[in-house]
Amino acid sequence: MIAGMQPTSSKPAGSSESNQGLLRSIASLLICIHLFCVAVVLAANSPGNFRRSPLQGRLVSIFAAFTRLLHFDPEFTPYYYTLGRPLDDDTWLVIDLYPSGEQPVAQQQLASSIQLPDGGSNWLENRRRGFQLAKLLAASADPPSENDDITSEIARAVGGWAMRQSGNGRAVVRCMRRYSQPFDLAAVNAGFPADRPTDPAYDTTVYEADVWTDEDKQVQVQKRASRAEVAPRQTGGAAPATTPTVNK
Amino acid sequence: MATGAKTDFTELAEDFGQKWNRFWFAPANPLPVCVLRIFVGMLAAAHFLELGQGLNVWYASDGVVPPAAVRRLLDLTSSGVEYRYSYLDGLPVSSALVVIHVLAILASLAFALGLLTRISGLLTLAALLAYIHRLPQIAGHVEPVLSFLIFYLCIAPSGARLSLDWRLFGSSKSKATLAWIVGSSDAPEVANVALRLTQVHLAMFYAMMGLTKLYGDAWWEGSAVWILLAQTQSRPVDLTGIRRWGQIGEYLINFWTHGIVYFELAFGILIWTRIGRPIVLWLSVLIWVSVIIATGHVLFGLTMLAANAAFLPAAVFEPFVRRPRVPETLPAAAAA
Repeated sequence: MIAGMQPTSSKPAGSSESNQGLLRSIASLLICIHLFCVAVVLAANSPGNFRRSPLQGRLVSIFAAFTRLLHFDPEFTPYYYTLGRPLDDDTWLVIDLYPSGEQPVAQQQLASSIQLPDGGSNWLENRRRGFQLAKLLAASADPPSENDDITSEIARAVGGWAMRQSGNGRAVVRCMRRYSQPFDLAAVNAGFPADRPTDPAYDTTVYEADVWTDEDKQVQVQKRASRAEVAPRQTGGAAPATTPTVNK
Repeated sequence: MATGAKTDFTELAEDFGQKWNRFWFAPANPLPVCVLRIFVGMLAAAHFLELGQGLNVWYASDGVVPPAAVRRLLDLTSSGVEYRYSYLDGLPVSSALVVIHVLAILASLAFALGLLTRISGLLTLAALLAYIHRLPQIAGHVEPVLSFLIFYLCIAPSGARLSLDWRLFGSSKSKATLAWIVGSSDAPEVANVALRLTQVHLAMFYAMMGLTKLYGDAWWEGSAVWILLAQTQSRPVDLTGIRRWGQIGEYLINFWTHGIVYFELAFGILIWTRIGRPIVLWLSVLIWVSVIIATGHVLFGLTMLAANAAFLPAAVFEPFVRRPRVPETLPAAAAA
């Protein structure tokens, strides 16, 4: 028992006072443990949780039975809203659906196309969930932290869901990002119309994968090669800017 | 000399103990936690109603990301055991899923009304956590705040006032045990513990929000709010017309950005000072309205504003409520 948390009365303690003192001591101990757990998980909350020290990582995983179970650890929630990285720009998923899983996309007509999120109000969280899933995919598709296991898992889930919903056998899952315009329009690169922030020039495909159902009814995924992995075409002119601003 | 040092240490420990006990265990009027319960219950109900929009898409077991995929993603992104359990993992798109969802809404409304308060509070918390753990990767900003608020309100006697429980059990001594179970008994020390836990947790939460922003250049450079306003797909309103104001517009964006960060960093400290508390509480209204406009996080902003009620004294709420029929047994100091 911590000395400072003893009952403060200097009078001879009666039975009820002594019980109250014991209760307060137990409550004090529980409060200290609880707040220590909460303080550790909140202090270890960083964008993507990649800036945790090994000690923080260990403590967070020890406390997980309590803090994760009751969601005191908001590990996936971006309370920074934006950090100004391209990763924080609007990202969404487009799923193009094709009828047959056995034929390649080039030999089929597009059956339908689904977008996630689709519709809804930006004042509500439902639409934001679609953006958040797309950002999770994009974060693992961008070269510095590329992780094919994560991207293919999301593409498989999203593509599989869209195919189940529509009864199609093949899908192309694309993760799209729209670069935002800077405050100073003079800083916008050539090729990006300053007066149309929704122009397709601002959109870029972050990730693209073919998803199909095989003969065993298993959903398969094959990532399409990213632009960075494809040899550049030999052209005479200067390469066009790929982002709207110089400093992005 | 050694005896003198020992006496000093004993006095210091005694002093700390007294302050600790006063902070955590001084009897408090349960009215603030009861008012907070109404706000939080209504916000939880609004949250569940809003979740209903994407119930089949996101939370059915055959939704966009099935439970097996969620577990594989967690294995790839987290370390250690997950401790995430959700009854939604076994519910495909069906009428059962809708019924379970409606029950969650009813539990949160019962909590707001103060009907079987502690039980409905625990059910609301269980439902909230089920949605979070079903798909934690896309959990929103409001869920972690609602989780700890409901958790502390379940500890508190949050049904002691302004509740159906108080009408049903509060006035009868024969139902004292039942009143304690449902959370309608006056338990002034427990009310204080719950209120203090909410206050300390909220202060730490603000500090966390401020600190995570410091990772990004945009919050240092004063452009973060502009970046939010420039998102054509996710912004709730188009305020990019500020650009036409030129330098003044840029300064306004800078001021807005810095204001949010400085407020969040200062909240955890100034809220404990006599002069600072009313200032940051008034300022929080301005800041949260501005955050809602820039980001569209309506429920999150309202929840943070409601949580701030934990810092208001009971006297603020007294004029708005009828006196209970049973005379208060609290000492005058505690009621204040």
